[in-house]
Amino acid sequence: MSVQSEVSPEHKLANLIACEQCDAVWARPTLAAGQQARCGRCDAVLRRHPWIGLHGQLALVATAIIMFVIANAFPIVVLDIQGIRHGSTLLEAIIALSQQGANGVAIVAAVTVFICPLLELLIRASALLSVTSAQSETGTMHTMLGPSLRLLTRVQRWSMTEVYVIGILVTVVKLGSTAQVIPGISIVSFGALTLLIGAIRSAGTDAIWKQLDLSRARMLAVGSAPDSAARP
Amino acid sequence: MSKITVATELGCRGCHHCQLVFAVPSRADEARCPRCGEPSHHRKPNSIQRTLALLITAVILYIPANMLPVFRTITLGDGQDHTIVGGVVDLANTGSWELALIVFVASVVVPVFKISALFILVWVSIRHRAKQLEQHAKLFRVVEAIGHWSMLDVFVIALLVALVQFGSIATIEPASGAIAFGMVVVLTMLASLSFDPRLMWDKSGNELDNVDAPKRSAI
Repeated sequence: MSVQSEVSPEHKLANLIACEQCDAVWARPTLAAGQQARCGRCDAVLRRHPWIGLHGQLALVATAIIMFVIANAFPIVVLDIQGIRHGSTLLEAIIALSQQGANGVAIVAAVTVFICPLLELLIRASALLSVTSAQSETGTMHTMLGPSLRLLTRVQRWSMTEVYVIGILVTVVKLGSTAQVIPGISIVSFGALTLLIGAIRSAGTDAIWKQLDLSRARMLAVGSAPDSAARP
Repeated sequence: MSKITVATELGCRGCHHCQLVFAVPSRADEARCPRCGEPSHHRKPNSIQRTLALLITAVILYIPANMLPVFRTITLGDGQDHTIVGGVVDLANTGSWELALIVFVASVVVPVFKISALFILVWVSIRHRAKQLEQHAKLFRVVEAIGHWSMLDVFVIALLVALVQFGSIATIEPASGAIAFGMVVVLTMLASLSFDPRLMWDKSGNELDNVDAPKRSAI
């Protein structure tokens, strides 16, 4: 449960939070596990308590990358029409699409089901690795963290694994009357990948930024500020 | 009645990416977040014009997307064209009506709902006195959440074309309606991305009745 108090002049900017959707400013709420804070003006979610720690997130991302590899290494489904069998992996399907002259559809599929989910997982993995290693004093700061996490927000919007999984189910049913459809490990992996991506996204990036702030403050105290901390 | 403080009044801005609140020099429109470097604007530039342009293009493309066939099945030399709505009917007749309902919602209900909702939101933002903003704010969040589900039919077409390649026995070819439909989905997603919901609140003034009671919520 969370309460937002109204803003008083003694609040420092760092202790404020601005609603993305209506621009109202609130005192940054302290949240416990399972809580979320909503804007008192437009009811948009201001922030959620990350339900899983940084190392837990890293474990989820690693599992998701394995699922992504399996899902793409095996045929989506194998079709059997009068004894002739034909199956293709996601990438083979995309190449087949462009050979059929459907370049637009091929590009949409490649971006939303392959490139964006892959980038989403890789960016998160590198960000989590760099902040968890910065926790130990010897770790080096990842100066690309800001730009790469900004890319993450954009990539996430166009990553549509969940829609694709339902698309596979619809396709299987549509083809059920004309061909024998043999589902494989790829469908199961795509399903698992969808759940994992959902879990990872719900953890947000708040914890990563908090960790980054802490390590920057520590490095400033030591007197070896990295370039990125001194950006105007 | 209680006063809501808006970031602009405090001379600050909330970063849309990392949520840091930072001071912006007065009259500066473009400023970068000191923590993550994300560029920010007071309000999204030309939000209304961009949203409207994308929406109108989407409406125009929605016509060929539904009139033209999206794929063609060729079974033993016998060709047949399929449209988006025809696909839903086929699915209801041969497969399961549950899946037909899902495809109907994703391909027909969601695009129409999304386009009309965004037109309403644009109208609310340019009207002199905006009312019922909480409901409109919720409408915007619904549009954001469901937008990408219309891509379902594009994926189904992509899979059908890629998988059903059995030469003269059975082949599925893509048709021009598919790309028009895909464009409608992408354009409506871009339209909701370029719409700035803060514009609606700018028209409202800051007085609200119900902010004395702080909101409590739990997941």
